[in-house]
Amino acid sequence: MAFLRPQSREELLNAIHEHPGYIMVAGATDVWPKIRRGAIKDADFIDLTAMPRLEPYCDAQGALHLPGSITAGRIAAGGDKMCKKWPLLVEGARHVGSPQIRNRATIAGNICTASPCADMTTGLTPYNPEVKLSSLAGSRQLPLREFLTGPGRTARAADEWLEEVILPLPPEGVFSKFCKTGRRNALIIAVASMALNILIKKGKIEHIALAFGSVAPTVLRAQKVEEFLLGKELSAAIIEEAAAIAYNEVKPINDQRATAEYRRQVCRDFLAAALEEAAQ
Amino acid sequence: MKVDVHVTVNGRPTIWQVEDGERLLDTLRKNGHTEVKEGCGGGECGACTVALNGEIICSCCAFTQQVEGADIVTAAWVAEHNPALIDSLVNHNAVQCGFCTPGVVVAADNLLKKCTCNRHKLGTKEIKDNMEGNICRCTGYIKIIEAIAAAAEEERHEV
Repeated sequence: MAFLRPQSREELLNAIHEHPGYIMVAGATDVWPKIRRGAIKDADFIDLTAMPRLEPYCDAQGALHLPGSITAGRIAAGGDKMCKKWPLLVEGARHVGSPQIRNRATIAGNICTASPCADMTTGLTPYNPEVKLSSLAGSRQLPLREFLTGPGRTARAADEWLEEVILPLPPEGVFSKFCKTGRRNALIIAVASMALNILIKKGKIEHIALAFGSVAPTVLRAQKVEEFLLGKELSAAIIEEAAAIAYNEVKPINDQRATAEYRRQVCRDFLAAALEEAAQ
Repeated sequence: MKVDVHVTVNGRPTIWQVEDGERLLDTLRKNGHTEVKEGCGGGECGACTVALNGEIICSCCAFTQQVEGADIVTAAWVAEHNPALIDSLVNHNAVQCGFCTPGVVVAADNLLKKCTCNRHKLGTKEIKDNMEGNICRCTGYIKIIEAIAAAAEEERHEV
């Protein structure tokens, strides 16, 4: 078994180019449970934790650039600007695992694991984020929704590294709501979760971005609900109709955590409650 | 292949010789730190909690090579340096079978350090939020929470 520890971006890109079959690891909070249950066997690793620690920054357009190596704990601690402008991201990070897990787990790991219930990914989705993938051949940027192709599957090539997550600045005055339900608070895989951004101007919905977690093969952008609501005025009847569309748009499964029917009802009720709150 | 990993454990600089891909929890226990317990082995129960550069982590979910140069604190260090916390846990009957206790002790000490820095009163919610990664199947948590709150109050009055 090999365990490589590149010390710089250049060393890393060379390492993944030479060894595309090696597993990239940072917080290892997902890798170790997989090793333990035999889902990862006789693997070689490229460790990302010896690389220089990078800080998030905002570019000239106001978009937030998060290094892939940033931990859920760092995001959850927020910092004023992050809490104010991207509260769903911060809320999502706060729901990850436990303090022990948040101190290690990275945003790149949360995204690349491509779990339909990833809390940070659900929180990110309404911001239309992009991921920056880098290899020796150069870098490319891809919308997150195109990057996530199925449960545990992404558009990442074997020699690519998720270097950055880029979140555009949401419209001024947007109302945000993150909801998650599970059997207990800590360390729980969501039964269903929702992240909503909505902007109402002069009574009309001017902007809406809605994501659901744990109710489809990937974190789901609820486009039918968005199309229905855009430009409308919120009333009891409209809220009820939007919630019914959400009920039908999500594609949940039955598993050991909940039934598909229960998950549909949770999504419907989350959305109805959030819209009522937004309308006030 | 054996590799050298340089760490400071409980204040003592040490060089570990480890196999590629060894788990931090195993390295600690092999080197005499048997106060660090293995519970679930999957990052869920918190029995293996240690503080790594001042942040609590599950040592069952880290590769030893990843902690090169780090400062590690286990329950043994806390027992020596924060006897008030240990006494409070004992006096509140917050220790029953004791298996979760080393992890609880490290997480609680870490929390108390953070709140001494900020000098604020520690509320039940904050204790619960910070201890949510430590599972205890005996006490029902109330005694643990009360013990930590009492230790925090005592520390606050001393400062």
